[in-house]
Amino acid sequence: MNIKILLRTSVRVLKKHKVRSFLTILGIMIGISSIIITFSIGRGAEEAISSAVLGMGEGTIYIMPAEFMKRGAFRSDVAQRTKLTTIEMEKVKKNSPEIAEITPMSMTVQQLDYKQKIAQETVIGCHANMMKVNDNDIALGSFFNDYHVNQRSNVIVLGNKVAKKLFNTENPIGQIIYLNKQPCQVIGVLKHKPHYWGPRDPNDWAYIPFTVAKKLCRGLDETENEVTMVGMKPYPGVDSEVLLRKIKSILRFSYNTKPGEDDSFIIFDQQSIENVAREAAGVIKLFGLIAAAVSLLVGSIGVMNIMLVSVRERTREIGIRMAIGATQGSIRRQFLIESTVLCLFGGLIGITLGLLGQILISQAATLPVVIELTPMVISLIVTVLIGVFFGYYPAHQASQLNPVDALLERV
Amino acid sequence: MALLKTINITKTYATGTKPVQVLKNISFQIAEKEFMSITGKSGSGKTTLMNILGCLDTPTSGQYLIENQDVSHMTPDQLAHIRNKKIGFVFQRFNLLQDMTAIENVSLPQLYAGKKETETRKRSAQFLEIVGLSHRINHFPTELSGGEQQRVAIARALSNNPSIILADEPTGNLDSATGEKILQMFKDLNKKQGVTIIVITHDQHVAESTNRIIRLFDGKIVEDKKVR
Repeated sequence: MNIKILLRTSVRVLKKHKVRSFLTILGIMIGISSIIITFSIGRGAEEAISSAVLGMGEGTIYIMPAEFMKRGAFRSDVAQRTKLTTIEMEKVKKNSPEIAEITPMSMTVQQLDYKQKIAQETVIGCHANMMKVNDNDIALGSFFNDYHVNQRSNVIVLGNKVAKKLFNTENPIGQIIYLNKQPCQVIGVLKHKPHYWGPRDPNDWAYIPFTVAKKLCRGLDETENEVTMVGMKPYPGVDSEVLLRKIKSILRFSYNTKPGEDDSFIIFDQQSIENVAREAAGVIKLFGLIAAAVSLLVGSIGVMNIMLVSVRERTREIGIRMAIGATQGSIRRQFLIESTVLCLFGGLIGITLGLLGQILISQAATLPVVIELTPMVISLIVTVLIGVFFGYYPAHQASQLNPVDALLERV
Repeated sequence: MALLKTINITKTYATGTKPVQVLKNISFQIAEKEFMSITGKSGSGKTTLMNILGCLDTPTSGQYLIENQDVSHMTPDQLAHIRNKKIGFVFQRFNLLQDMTAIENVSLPQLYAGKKETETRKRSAQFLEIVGLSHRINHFPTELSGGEQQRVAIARALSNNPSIILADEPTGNLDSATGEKILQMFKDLNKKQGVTIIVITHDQHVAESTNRIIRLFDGKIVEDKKVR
């Protein structure tokens, strides 16, 4: 008896018991759809992490002063709170030829207004190489250059969302907006930067020359050389761990930190943040897969149970088939194919539901939709294996029936 | 040469505390193209004998030969092949698969024999024609009368050209007129196509319409007579 006929027969049997078949494969469906969703969210998260870790830029390193907090408690030595200044930046720069770009950054929230529209936004004062540090791109106009920085020109480059807020559809280039009531000319708008989580959306930021920030921004002092942070980008191929150790020792030396004392600064590097984010994504994925596995196991036991019921109900059919020449092997095969087809249906519906769920969740969480073949193929293989493995015992039971007893339903 | 031959067959069931011997030293032969019946009251052992003759069961001791091949100690799968190729069953309860059409039921033994589906369809249609059901080939058993179902069963029994047809109370679930037609069909099949047929029945009238009667009583053959 060839497989085509067996398949047709099992589809017919499953159709006959539609509700029962559906309920049986519910567990498989849920399990498979969770596998699909988990995989895709995991992949989506990875994609989000690798395409732009929190809007940082690839390989980028940021240094910040260790602020008031230390391990969740207020520092006792508030008075001696260290400041990060351009002096430290220059020391790092001078001693690290591996660094391609380095810029001071002042970050303050300032009021921007244009024709009655007012926005409170984070304004970053930085050098002309900022875009190379954080991997941003210009959508309209251009970024400011060294000349603007040196001449302290009042120019501003807007993040995508800021531009939309103030100008809507109007072309912002060349327009004058007011930063703290001081006129600034908009010379560029940045491309939209993917932002997947965290409270700070880089598209809400505006950039002005570092020197201008000192002059215009409330809360900054022209006479001081303090910075909020220092951003830098090493040349490609530089071993970031070696570089980080080096920066750390330069800074400790510069701050005159004694052995055993805590650092006066924090280093954020894209790689370690990415690693942490990946670990978190991995944990989420693991939990999802465990849940899927439990659901699949429960579903599989349901399949085995219903197949046992089916064998019992169809004892006479088995007897008839044996009487007209079915071998034990062909009876076993028939029930194995039935349970496999059952599970495969569960898998296919599960994949469909999983894809739908994936699209819904991706939209809700603004994660990229990643449709991959691998989890689907894995799911199908898993369902077939479940069908064979959990269908084997009932199928074997069926094949071991004695034809006489089976015919008389005397089992 | 004998088509079937039983030599001192016994069958013992170990029910309860005491083993019950249902068949005691049964020996007889059936030649090719015979049309005969095995009869006896209920409890005489005729059903057990038919199960052994049909290779649905094996004897406790003794030998059973089909075309000189000893089948009394075969494995379940070997017996399945024998049933498939050499024996055609007609049951009192018809025993058609309810989810399959008439032609699919007739095709099933051929499919188990490994024949191709297209080929089986052609053959099955021919056998359904022989039993006069050409117009019903795509009907399900529930859409057929008892007599029609039994004719489908006969077509199914014939479909692998078996050495013998074993009919277990074939008229038991039919009214007498329909039963008569089925018996007539057996007679015709025997006479025209030379099919060997064994009818197992408690019904004296049915037994009388065959050519030879073996009567069982208490697990023993008490009579073996030619009727005509």
